[in-house]
Amino acid sequence: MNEEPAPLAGLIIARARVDVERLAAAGRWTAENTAELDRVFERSATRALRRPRFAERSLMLRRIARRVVPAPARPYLRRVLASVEGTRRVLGARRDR
Amino acid sequence: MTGNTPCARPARIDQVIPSIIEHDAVSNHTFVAQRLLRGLGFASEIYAAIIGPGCAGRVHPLNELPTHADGSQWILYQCSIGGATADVVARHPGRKILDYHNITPAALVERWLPPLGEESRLGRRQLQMLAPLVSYAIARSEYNAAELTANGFARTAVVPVLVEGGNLEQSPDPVWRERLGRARSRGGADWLFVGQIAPHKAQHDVVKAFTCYRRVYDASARLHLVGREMGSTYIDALRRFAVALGVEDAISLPGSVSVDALVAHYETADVFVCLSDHEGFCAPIIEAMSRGVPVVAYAAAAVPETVGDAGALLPDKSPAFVASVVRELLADTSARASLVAAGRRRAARYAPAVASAAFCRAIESALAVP
Repeated sequence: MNEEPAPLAGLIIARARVDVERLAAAGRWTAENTAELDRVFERSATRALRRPRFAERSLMLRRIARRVVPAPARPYLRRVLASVEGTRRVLGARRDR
Repeated sequence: MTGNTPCARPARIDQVIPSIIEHDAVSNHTFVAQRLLRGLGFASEIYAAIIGPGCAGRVHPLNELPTHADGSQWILYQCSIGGATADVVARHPGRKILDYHNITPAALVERWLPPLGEESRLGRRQLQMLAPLVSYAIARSEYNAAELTANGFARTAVVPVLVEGGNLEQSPDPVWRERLGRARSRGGADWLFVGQIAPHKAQHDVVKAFTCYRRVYDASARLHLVGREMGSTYIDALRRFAVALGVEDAISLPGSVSVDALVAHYETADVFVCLSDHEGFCAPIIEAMSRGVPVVAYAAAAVPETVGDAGALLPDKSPAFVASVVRELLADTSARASLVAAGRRRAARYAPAVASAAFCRAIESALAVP
């Protein structure tokens, strides 16, 4: 289906192209701003993709801790793990709360 | 059966689908298809390998699929992913119709959900395996039909996605309406995208464009990304991204919402922004058009066909360009009104009655195949 864009949509797009160039020329939004967004997203993605591995490790550590750590020391260990992994799940909080 | 004599009319056309859940376009399509098949005089049940909450009682487990080898039972397979369900369909002795919603390319999802990438690859292999076994195939769009033809399907018809008539004509949820209206009263534009929170829907690109828009044009703007998450990793990345950019308070991720809550979102939206890298049709674009929301969309996969001449179709989706298109659209009231009117006309072409009639015609054509 080859449908031409609505004439007004074409006009909007043409004006937007001009505006993008104007923003870049004025230094209000440049290619570097776009590249920075890309970098920030990649960092967020990398951290999110690492999280399941952290969760698995956290589960393993908790299993071991239940066997070897005396009950009074467990809250302290939980806080240490939480600070290391930065996840509320270590503190026993559920994701949906 | 010899020559060009049509097959005997079956007593039943049962549907098979890998998984079925509430608030999902393919699942809704399947339920409407069942009603239409029954309306055509066939007995028709739905069988699924995975039955989500809210669908129990309306759908049977796949292992209960009856097998009538006497030609009295046909199978309509709702295909959108690979898996063992396709093998069940392939082995079934009944005639087969395939209803193709497209399969997301593995490359777009495997980084985030490796098993889904595998299922996508499997789905495309199964598509080729099914081609000689299927007597007729139905596609959501010309784009999907072209894929079917390329995979060896001889007979295809295009039928838009089926939705319940009047679904989006109901009143908006009052709680959502009040909540969204309160935010709106503080000024700023409301961006909306509706679709599964998934990497191929590229909500991260919407966040990039939205961030640019806020920094350059409208610091009060809000973004609503409505939809259920596909896995937890991508939405986690999206949340981290929003926090890192300092826009987390301006972005709402309400998850999957009821129809009346969705109506409230469409009612308060200024613009619908779709930057998906892959869509087999994209029903929310038509929903937005029918609710009078202008559409800005990246021209990928079937999106140009769905949008037609009724929206701003973008050849690229660099943040500044998308932001600027939205700004121009919202600033130019006559252009906006023109696109809204074109959108309503476009949506009428996909109205439930039109899609239902096309589906019934396709079934009759399938029945006429020798």
